[in-house]
Amino acid sequence: MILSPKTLERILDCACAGGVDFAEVFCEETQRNTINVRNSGVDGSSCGRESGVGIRVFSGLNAYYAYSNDGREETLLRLTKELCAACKGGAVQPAPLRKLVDYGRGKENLSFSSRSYKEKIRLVERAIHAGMDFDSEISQMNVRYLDSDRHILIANSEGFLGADRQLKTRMLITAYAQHGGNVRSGYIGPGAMRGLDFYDEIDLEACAKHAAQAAKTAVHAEKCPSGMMTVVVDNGFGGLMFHEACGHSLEASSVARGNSEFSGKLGQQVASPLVTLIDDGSLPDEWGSVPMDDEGNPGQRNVLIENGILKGYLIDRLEGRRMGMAATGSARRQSYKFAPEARMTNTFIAPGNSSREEIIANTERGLFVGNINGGSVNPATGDFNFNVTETWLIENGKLTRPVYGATLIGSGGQVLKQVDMVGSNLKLGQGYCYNNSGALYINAGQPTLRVKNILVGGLR
Amino acid sequence: MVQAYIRKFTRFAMEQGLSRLAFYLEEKEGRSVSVYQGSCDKLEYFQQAQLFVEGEYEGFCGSVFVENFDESLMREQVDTIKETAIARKKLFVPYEYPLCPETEGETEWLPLDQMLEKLAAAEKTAYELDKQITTVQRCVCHERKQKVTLLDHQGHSVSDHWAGGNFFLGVSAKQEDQVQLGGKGKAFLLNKEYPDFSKLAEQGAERAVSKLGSGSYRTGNCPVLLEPSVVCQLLDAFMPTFFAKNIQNHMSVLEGKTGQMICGENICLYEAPQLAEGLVQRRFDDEGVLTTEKTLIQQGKFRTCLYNRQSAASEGISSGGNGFKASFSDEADTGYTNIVLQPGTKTQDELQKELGNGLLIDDVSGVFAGANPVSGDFSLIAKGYRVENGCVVKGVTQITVAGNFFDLLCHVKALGSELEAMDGGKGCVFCPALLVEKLMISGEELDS
Repeated sequence: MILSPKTLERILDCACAGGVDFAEVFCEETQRNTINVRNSGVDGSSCGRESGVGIRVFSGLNAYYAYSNDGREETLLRLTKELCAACKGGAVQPAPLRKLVDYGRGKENLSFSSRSYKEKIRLVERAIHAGMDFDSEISQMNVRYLDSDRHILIANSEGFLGADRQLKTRMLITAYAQHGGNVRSGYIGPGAMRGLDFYDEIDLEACAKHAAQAAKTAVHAEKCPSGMMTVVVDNGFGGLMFHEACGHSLEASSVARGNSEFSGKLGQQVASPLVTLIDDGSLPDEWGSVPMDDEGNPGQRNVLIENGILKGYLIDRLEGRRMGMAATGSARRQSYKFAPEARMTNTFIAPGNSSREEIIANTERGLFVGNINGGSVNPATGDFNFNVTETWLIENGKLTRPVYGATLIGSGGQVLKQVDMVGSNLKLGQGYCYNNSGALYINAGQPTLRVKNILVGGLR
Repeated sequence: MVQAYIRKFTRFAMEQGLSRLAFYLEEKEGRSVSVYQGSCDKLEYFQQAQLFVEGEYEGFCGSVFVENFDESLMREQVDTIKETAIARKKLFVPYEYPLCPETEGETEWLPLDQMLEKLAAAEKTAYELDKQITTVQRCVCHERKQKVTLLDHQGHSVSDHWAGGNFFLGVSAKQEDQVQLGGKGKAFLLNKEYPDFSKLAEQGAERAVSKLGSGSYRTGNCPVLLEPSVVCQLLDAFMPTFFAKNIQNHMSVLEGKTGQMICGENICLYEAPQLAEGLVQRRFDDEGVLTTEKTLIQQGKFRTCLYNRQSAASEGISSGGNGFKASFSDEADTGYTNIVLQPGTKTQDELQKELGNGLLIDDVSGVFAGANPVSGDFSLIAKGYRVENGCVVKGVTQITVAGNFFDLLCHVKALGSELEAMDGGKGCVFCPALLVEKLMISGEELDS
């Protein structure tokens, strides 16, 4: 629902007359297609347009937000007035809107509708067949295909007017293996900020086989033991460990009010000197990238930790006011139904010098984690947890037996200091991140690395 | 606006060759108010009308979801229905339209100033409970009114509406270098009284303070008392095990176990759509089928699973009224209304005494990743208290609790008498505390 500049100005005028010191209108029109396919056929689909408007106003450090998919001006003005009723400031004059800054330029020829629904199903079926053909123990393949073509327009009372178009697509491939009454799964989920040409460049069959191999290994695995262990986390989505262990704790929503273990620690050694943590929303074509963030700032590279020293936070406009610091191009929201907050984009540990082989060979006893299912953290304490997959025991420097069913827990501040080997093989993996401003597309990445001690919660 | 759109869309779609139509209309409005240091720091309003349209084209069913009611998009919407119908080749099944009379009453929420007062009072209560409370991180109340209407091209229509809210207060407490968090939330129906926010605030703050000075626990199997909120989280995570679709697709440990003992004789589980305290108030599901009471587990025996129309049709039976959507934009899948794990007779004190020496767990996290609904296995970060001779002696943090949900239900020594509710999105679960013979605990061994 993309409003005209005149309507945008009338909403901003209405807000500023109501006693706020900043007002913003966010318009969104997103064409979204999701298709769920099993080896037995299409299991469900969801196609249509997500469309609406979000209005945000600030009064000092307080933020008020309203949203609706009723784009009629009278509805939006009524919601604006309801928001302003809670504000106590005097009227201000918004700046006239300047010339449009269009971050979506050059994407005019890209479209997901260039291929039919049927063609998309055929694409998915390639992955299904490759997985089912991988091994007789593969009992089922589930693939969720999605594409989204997101048009956004932002106007604010400082005169900014900006637009972006973000095309993203992803295929979430899950294989199930059955053996001796047990069913276990393997998973891979490639995605990018690209059109459908993305699938011409990746090896879908190889992805499906990876998921199938992971499922087959898991169904023959033994229960993971419990206790403190040295853990080697492989490159790629293993980087979610740092997303949970410290990424969320560096977001302004936690830091600004002192609700983070990293509040007030800029310039201090918070991690092993081997750790450099970067969040970069400006990476071209990546799943977590934001050419324009959801407040109108360009996505940028933010070095959060450099050689173990805390260098910065992820900051949005509101919390930036509280912290007295500038926004970092990190404001994100799932859709117009959420007010934006500073969130991670593409977050990764910079490469070091070791090889994966060296790291494993130097570990006498421990756990090798190939992938991470998901996790969460409490930023105030730093207590995090994540559930792992594609997991093996390391014995005498070698991967020996596959294990399943483990959750790793710890405190972010402690784990960061326990990193003692970092590989050179940086890779990014795709995923989702859930928090106050909704479910977002994110990349998490790292090279293979080793953490000396983590508490492993296994099934035995 | 939406009703007029539906009428115009119906005319246009019929002209374009669609033979039947079914509309799922979700209308909702809501308010969210948050207080920080005594004043309103966040306020949110929303108002939405969202449509999911299914249409029959060449004998098959296609669909599209609609949030933008601009008439210029009708052609694109009809084309999407046609394209998905041809590709899917799924048969069109019209909604059912049971006789459900319109219910009376417009629910209103508290005026904003009164809500702010209640929240500020709750925040103050938390701060005043103990000097070690450093921050009330969140003190928020969400309220929402929602209406679901099913209608078609022939003028059939049926509606259900309800209104609910949710209060949450979270605090941090500090002692020397140790920070502990606590919180308490409660979901409620808006046609009843608002819960006592200040009392909940006190309980949330107490949780944080009581964990100060906590340590870990030794690794090994140990007897455990799970608080109702923890049991709710586990049951909510493993409810998909009871979905007929998952059983049919070999994705549930309950496959082939109808009529068999799957847990201890002391376990009964049932669905109660009309439960007065139920947080889900639905007379029919998202496919228009009446919701009905049913027993899932009776004295340990697996009795029935949850069917929507599709999973029921594949067994040649009728839907159980469990066809619910995850979101308005999705096709109806499986869900539930109010699921109750039947309580026992023991008070919390009695359960603690019976535990003797062991662990009382009052908080788990990471359920979405650490619980596997196919196998029933779980491994979760947890918090709680060390119990010795039936008395709480110390807080416990930085541990994991692991096991298998159905094994756990086979080893329940006693059930508490008090139920707690949780609305997890797919439906609402009510659970008592469970005293479990043993679960696997992982902690730092030094602190045993």
